[in-house]
Amino acid sequence: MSGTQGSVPDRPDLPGQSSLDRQVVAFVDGEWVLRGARDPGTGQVWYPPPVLGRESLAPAEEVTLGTTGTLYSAVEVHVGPVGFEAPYWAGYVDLPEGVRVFGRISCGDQTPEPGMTLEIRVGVVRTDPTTVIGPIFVLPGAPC
Amino acid sequence: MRDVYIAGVGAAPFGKDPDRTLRTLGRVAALEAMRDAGVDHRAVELLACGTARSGTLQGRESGVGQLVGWEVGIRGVPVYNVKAYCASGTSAFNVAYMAIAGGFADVALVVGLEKLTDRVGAGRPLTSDGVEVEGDLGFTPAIYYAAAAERHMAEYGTTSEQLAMVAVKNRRAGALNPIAQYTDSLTVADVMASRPVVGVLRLLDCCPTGDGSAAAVLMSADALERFSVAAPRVRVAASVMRTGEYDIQQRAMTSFHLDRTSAQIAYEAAGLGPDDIDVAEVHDAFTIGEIIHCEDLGFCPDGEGGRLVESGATALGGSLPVNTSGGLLSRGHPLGATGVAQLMELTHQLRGSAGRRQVDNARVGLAHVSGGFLDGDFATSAITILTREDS
Repeated sequence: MSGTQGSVPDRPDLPGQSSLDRQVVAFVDGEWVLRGARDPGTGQVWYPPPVLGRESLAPAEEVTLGTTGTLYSAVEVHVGPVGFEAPYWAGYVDLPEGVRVFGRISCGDQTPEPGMTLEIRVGVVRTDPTTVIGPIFVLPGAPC
Repeated sequence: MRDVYIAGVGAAPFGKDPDRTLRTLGRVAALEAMRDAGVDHRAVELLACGTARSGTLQGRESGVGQLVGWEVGIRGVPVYNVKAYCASGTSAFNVAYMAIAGGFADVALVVGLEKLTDRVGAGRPLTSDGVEVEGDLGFTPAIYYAAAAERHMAEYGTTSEQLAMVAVKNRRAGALNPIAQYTDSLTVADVMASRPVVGVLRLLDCCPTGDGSAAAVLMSADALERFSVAAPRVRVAASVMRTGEYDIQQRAMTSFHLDRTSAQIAYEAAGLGPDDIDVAEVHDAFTIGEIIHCEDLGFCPDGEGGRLVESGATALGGSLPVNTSGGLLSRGHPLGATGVAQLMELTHQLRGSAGRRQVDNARVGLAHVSGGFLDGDFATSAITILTREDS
């Protein structure tokens, strides 16, 4: 990985940390984006981003993932793990780079349905026991 | 490789009892297994122990196997402590299997145990080790399986009622199993009326928490003769344990490719196929899990798992009874104990000693357990095939 590994900056209005073990968000050109990595040997993109290409074991190339994807499956969580206040929606979104991303879904009153186009925002996912920021899937054009 | 046999099995009843410790659980199961095999502690040449959360929950990251061995007088032998998520017990079994098959020991004791009721967050879904990113974002196995269930329903027409039938079927069998935690009868309506947990999964679609232990004594053919272990004998025809494949991130969630390839390897090792299986213990942490796993193990075509349970084929008295022990849905899922408890059930079935839940003429049994998640795949898949030998 090059450049920004381990140096994801905090944003004043998005306090806390990206405590994720493998940093999956980056602040690029004034906005948060989701990050993957490409194996230089095979060209396959991985998310969460590994440090080394999974086949070549050469240093993986940083990839900024697209901000729009297709919802694969969504569920309403009535009982979540510690730190997550239910109910909320979560699910898996397929991105054009060929990766499937898990995250919270925020569609207001609309029920998330497989096949829907969703945009990725980066926001506060949890605050207990620490603040974590990560991907949140929203309807196109919707605020996070 | 030498043939390996299960010569004895034992367990401590599964349940929630705050007075039982790791050493209590391990001691009870180990003593029963050795007694069942007709040996005492002096015969044991190797001990393999599976736990998943003893470090987090009991502050004993290492040495649970040594502790259990000390409790039952085992000393001066190799002890292996194995952690592999839900497959910890089966992975410990695999270690003992390889030691005997390879000629490094003739008698080995396997113990799987877990005291899961010590965990923080009781009443909430168990989280999964090894999913750093998704875990921070709220991933739980219940969410994964619920998302898989949604897809299975959309693609194959599987219904919530069929999911509930898995719980009802397994509870009916569990009611006949003295080590099961829950033995009260269930109806489809009961399951459908239980409170929602995630998506289509309701409380009674999910295995309960609990504590428990199970143990098995493995022997070589020479040891069977030396200790005069009576027929019928239970041979380990295949013991396969593999890590995730990871490179299939876009796979459908309605199938687990790792289980499919692991099953194929196990079938080839045993010289058998899915049509040869008479009884199976399948990882039913969630009702949809049993449906998908039955497909991946080749018990029915893709997408037919829901209709398989609805047909009654996998119930006691059916053509391929699945989870005659009551499964995780009745025992609970003390992680390290689960896999060994599955093998204990199959051993009783193949011996013909399963009592009122006995499957007629059971000669080949298969146990399946998946362990943990990593990069969108299972982190471990363990499949064991046992066969009955009459002499």
